[in-house]
Amino acid sequence: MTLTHTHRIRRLSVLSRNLLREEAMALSKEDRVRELARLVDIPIMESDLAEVADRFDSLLQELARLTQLDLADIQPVTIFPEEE
Amino acid sequence: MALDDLAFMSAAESAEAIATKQASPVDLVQAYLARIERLDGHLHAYITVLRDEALAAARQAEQALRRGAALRPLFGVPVAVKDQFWTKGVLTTNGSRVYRDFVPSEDATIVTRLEAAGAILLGKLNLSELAMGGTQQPPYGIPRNPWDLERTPGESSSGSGVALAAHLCAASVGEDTGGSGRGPASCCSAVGLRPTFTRVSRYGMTPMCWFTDAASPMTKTVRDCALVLGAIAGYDPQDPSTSRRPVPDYTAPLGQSIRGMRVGLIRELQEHDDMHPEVRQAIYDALGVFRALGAEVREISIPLVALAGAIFVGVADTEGAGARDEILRHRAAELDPASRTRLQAAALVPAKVYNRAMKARVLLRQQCMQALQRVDILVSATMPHPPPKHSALTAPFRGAEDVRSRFFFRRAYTGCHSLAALPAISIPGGFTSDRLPIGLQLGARPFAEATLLQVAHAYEQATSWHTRRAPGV
Repeated sequence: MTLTHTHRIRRLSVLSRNLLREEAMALSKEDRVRELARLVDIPIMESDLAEVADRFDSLLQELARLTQLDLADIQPVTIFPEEE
Repeated sequence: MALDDLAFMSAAESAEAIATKQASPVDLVQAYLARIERLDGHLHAYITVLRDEALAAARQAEQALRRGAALRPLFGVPVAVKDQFWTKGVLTTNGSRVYRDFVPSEDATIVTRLEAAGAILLGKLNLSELAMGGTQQPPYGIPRNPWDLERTPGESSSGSGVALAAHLCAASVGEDTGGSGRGPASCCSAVGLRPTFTRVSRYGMTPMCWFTDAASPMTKTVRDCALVLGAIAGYDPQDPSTSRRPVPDYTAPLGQSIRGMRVGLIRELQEHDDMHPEVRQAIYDALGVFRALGAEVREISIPLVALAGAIFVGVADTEGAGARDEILRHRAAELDPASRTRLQAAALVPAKVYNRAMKARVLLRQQCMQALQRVDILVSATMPHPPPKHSALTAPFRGAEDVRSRFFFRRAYTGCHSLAALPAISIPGGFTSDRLPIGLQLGARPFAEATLLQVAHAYEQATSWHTRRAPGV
């Protein structure tokens, strides 16, 4: 199915928001990865799908641990200033 | 001295032997070429050996010597670089089939500077694909650890570690994004330095993650490391991110006392449940050496270091996937399965999560800098375990929990310094009862490489780990 640009962004936005929520989505982790990959135009072979899904799942779970941090006043600088 | 014995000298000893006419550059190059021919068929340290070019450069060096040319720090010393650095007219594969035909039209700045310091380039060294890790089927041969051929030499500067342990070059430059120089140094009982971000030019170095990539001197001794860093460090107009700070003589503080230096053990890394007990004990033993040398040893806490592996992957893999978008879209089938699935997973990470990882990185840096107000040197193991078997490292993941335990945990040890843009060094720190190398990691404040090398040298000279030879080489 060909998606319009607006449709693609809307789907991506909903999917991204949902996958950050704790409640499980109706999609399996493989289906979620397949759908995300389709929306961002990253081709994934069916034979790779399970491993990509495991990697993606664990990556999000690990990074979810960062939500416990108070990062409200932190600026995500790209290069650190030189120390004097 | 027999020709083969020349290859067991350090880079500094090689330069000294040339200066005092005990050895010639041609002798040295021939000694290494003979060893490469004899051993590299099964070790796979090299992807490209520049036999004719190295011999020609060595003959030119001998002519220059006869003319009375001024001796430079690495004059006539045979070196090799990771095949991630561009070399004009010479294949540069980045360890990947994707780059199997890539022949750069320019040299990387570090290659130019090594040659300006008098070094002779022996060849290009093997690496994990695209300077990542976990390559299941390395396209240019499986690099084997000379200390145990069934074990990994570490990733991703694997060829550099192998070449040093097997004495197939006098010194090397690898690359260190999250530990790719320090890890192989640890696995191969060599020295690997990650300089301060911006200290060494990255021009002509194929990127993995722009925010943390660093060229990494990898050597047989700490003195060699100081020599190589001195040769390649400094501002480069072709890499505007490089610091304009003057480059000191990094060999100057070597041999000076470290009495009164404050050395801090990173508690969160040392007390991790999954750390190998013999590695933990080796680090405690190292603290005893520092105490005996007059240093003040204490424990320090960097709470966020426990999450450094996750933060690193969130920043570096996501950045790396973005940088390789074209490959992922059009040439993914040419990638090794492990590289491909790792990059594909990272390419799907939402911006919000990436942004959180970038912020956490800043917080981690703040905690590291606070710790470095209390101590001069941070101490930990380089890796929480001895080099694993190839089969354990390259086996496909079995579920998300397997990914977590194998992928994130070990990256915290070296990833924290990378994320915080601190200099860090891995030096030989002992051996397990199975005679597998253990790496001792030291970290310091930004641009304090001289202090780092001074302390590393003091430890090295107080121990004998660096004098051991791998079996069969």
